[in-house]
Amino acid sequence: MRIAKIAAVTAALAIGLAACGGGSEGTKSGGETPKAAKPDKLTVWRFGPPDDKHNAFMAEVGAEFQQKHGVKVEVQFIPWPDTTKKLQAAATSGSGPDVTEIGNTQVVTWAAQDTLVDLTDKIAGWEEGKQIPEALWVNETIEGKKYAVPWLGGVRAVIYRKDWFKELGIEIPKTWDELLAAAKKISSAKKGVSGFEINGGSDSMHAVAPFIWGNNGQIVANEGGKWTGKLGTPEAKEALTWYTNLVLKEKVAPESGVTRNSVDISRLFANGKTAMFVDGAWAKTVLKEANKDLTDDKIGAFPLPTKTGGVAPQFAGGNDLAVWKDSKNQDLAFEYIKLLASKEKAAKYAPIAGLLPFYPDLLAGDTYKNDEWLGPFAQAMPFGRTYAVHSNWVKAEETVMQQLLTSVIKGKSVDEAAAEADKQIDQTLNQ
Amino acid sequence: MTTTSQANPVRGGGHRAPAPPRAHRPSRRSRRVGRLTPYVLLLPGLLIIAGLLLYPMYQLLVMSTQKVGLRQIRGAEADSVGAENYERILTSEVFWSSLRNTIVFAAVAVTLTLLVGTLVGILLNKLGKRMSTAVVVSAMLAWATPQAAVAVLWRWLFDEQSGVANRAFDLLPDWLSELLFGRADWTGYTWFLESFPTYVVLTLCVVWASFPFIAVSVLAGLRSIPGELHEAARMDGAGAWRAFWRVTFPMLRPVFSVLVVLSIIWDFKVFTQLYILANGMGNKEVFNLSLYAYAEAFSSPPAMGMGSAIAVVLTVILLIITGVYVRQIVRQEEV
Repeated sequence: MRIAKIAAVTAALAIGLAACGGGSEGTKSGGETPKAAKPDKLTVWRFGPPDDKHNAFMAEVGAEFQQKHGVKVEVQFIPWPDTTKKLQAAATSGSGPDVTEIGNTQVVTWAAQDTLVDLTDKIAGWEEGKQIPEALWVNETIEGKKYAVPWLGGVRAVIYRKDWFKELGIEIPKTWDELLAAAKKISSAKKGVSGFEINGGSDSMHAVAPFIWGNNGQIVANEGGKWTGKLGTPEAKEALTWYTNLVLKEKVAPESGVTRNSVDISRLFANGKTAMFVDGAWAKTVLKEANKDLTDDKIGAFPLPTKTGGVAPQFAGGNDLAVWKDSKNQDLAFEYIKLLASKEKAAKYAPIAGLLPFYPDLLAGDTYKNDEWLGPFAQAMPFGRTYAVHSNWVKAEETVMQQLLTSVIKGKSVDEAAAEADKQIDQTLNQ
Repeated sequence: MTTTSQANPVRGGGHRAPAPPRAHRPSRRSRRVGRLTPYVLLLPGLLIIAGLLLYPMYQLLVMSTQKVGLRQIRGAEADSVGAENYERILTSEVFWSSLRNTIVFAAVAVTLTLLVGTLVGILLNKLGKRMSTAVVVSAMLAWATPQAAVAVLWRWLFDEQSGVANRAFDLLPDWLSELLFGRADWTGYTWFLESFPTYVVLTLCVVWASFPFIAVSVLAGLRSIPGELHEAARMDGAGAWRAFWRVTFPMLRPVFSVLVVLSIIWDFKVFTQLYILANGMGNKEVFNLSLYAYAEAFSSPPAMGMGSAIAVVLTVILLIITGVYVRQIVRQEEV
């Protein structure tokens, strides 16, 4: 009897704990009023790993700002994979930054959640900002209101092992066929090296999209106000087949590639396990840090070709700057953005960050085109594209392509997987 | 396990002597105070449980019928959507595959944990003092390792490129490997792509970390069984197998009951290990209900209402299973 009771009570308690585990989502902080930031300090959140060069630049801008406005600037770097969690926590607790960096496709998501300040009027009064072409504000403009400032842009290209190309006498590929031939040549010449690494991780959308666009295909389209997935169209399917065949048929990439994102792949590249992969110019710092032997004569980049020759359109990634809604110093925050996004600072910081400025006259000069490293990325810049400007897009972006690639590698037909992906996109965007 | 020391050693055969009468008869007043005391003592605990558990659970229920995003958490009024969240999860494929993963995994993991745990417990009972201490200490190390560390460890062991598991399988003769697993080449085999291999590793990972607790509990139970009973069984000609099922198992039934319930609860809501093994939330096929709830509630933009609805379903399933089981135990004990 007694034992039975003890057993029952123990079980009941354990269930309690179980419910606790499942129910932790239940905690809710209610309508807390945001804490006032100290008026003598401006908090800025930057995304990415802090290294000396970035810190030095931010300190310089901070000093200039302090001199002008008498306010100290505190910069905090947040690693990219943690940004969503960190912003979410800031939004829930009300203790966010004054200014935050933000990915351009994220702007619509965070603006829809009422966490960013409407900057339309402030931007209208910013003379220098008018030089940024209106077409580059697509991701930042929601229902006619601007919620962020495009700061620096980034497009992707193929990063490759220059020394191996030279050693094996491979020319820079100009078409898909040449790209495949190059990958095959390296795979067979070097044991344990994949010729062209596929990306099936959280950022695989950015790696696969240029192949689809480079085949005149689409990913999503707005038809009469409704967003629909276009991965099931013949052009997109052809590109997806080509991409997955790198693993399935040509064997120039391992199937485990579908579990890796660009950060994982760059680690493989740094360790000499990969000859080519698609990533942005910012990857160079990381690669060099991971392997000191990767000198400039060993890493190079070339624009990803389209199927038949030409530069494939790339996702126009952008690092934007926005004012956080809970900020008590919104005017001052925008003053800081004006300084950081000014032409002078953008020109100075772009090469440090491996990004490109949005000011047309800066881009037009030969500085970037002739730069051996940034040049190939700058070439793809005019072909920049984006996906759906929709508050749920981020959700689709992070999972749909990953799911599609995984199921194809596991044996599903491209037809079926693409149809499923389209269904997912439709569901996510029309919830 | 305090329960084991309470085990009545002569159940199933003997007759227990009634408790000795109290030394003096208490007065009426002290009897009333005595009747109230347990409730007063329970009060602080109840208050804490109400604050930390019942209220959040109530919130969970409320949120599961609402559309809750960041905007609502920041103070906006949440709109009620009735049963829409539930409708949506019940019609989603991910929910059903998560449910299947959760239940199959719990069934397999609970069985294996109890089996291995009991066997090790019996082994410990047979071993000499020094040896048994060594085994207990090394097993306890596995149990004491934080879940996150355990998961990272197993992920490394099963890494597709440099994991020791793939190397070891590669060393098997090809015909044997082909016969056992249907493949001879293990280089680059990716374990965390499909749900079956992922759950194989998860099972190993969870069983490895949780059998020591079962083993030690069983050992404590075994130590409380008087030696004469086994001696008598042996005299009557029972072998080890028969002696286990006729003497040891019935004596340890209460211990097993608690262990089964605890294991079911633990294995149903496994989260940390799966989250780390699956490397995030990209592969929906490997979701279990906990991971599914988390993915809905905390990815960007958050859908906390959906997440709550899934958590409610998980809690209800657990309550039903545990409720039925506990009732059964109580009934058995009452007979």
